[in-house]
Amino acid sequence: MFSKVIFFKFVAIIVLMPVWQWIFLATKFEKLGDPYYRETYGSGYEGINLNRAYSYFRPILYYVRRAVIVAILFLGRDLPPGIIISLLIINHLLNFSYDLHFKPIESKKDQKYELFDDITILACIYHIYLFTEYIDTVDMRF
Amino acid sequence: MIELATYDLLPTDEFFPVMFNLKDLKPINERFNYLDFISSNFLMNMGSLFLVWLIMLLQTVLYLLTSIKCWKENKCVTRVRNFSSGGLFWTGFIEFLMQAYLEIAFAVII
Repeated sequence: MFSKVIFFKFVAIIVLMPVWQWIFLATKFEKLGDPYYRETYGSGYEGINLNRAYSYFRPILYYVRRAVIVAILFLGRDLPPGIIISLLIINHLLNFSYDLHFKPIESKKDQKYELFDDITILACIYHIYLFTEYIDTVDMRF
Repeated sequence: MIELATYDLLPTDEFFPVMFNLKDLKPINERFNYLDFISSNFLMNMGSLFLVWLIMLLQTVLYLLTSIKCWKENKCVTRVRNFSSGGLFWTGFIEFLMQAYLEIAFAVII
């Protein structure tokens, strides 16, 4: 019983967190630069460029991207690994394209770090292909 | 490495089943088992994160208790209140949920 109550609380948190973030950023966008707001709610939008409208999508994308990863890994748990990896790459490429095109980070240095981070993750995911059915020979695969 | 990445630093797999009387703990499949999601039970999958969440809730309760009007003047109580609320409202909660979102989502969906 206790376990179920806690479970539903966390389900609500997982679903409502991106929604809350979206509503908060949409309604309070004029006040986000205030020191009070930065101190109280700042961790939700830390580092993003507040002068660009498209930057506000970044915190929401942060949650959505993770939710999609979880959905791919859970719902596709019985799929061949190659398909799961392809879906993860598409998810990651969409996020990478957003970062590359809209440059939502305020500091140029952090923006470069973010892109470097994205490229590194992408390279790592591509490497996993080497261990899947895409390599025909089993000896080569491992 | 996986334990570190999933913030599972304490051996919760050993004492959670006894603590919450959890039975029939079987993994969904071998892949999830390898990633340390050893059962489909939410508390087991949350692991140490659940304890962090409890500590944050305790901090909130402590803050509310020390905010009672008749205690507000007491210096010692004020210190405890300042200590318990430091960075908790609301950056602490937001930071926790942002960092642990992936792990919590996994625990919930499994």
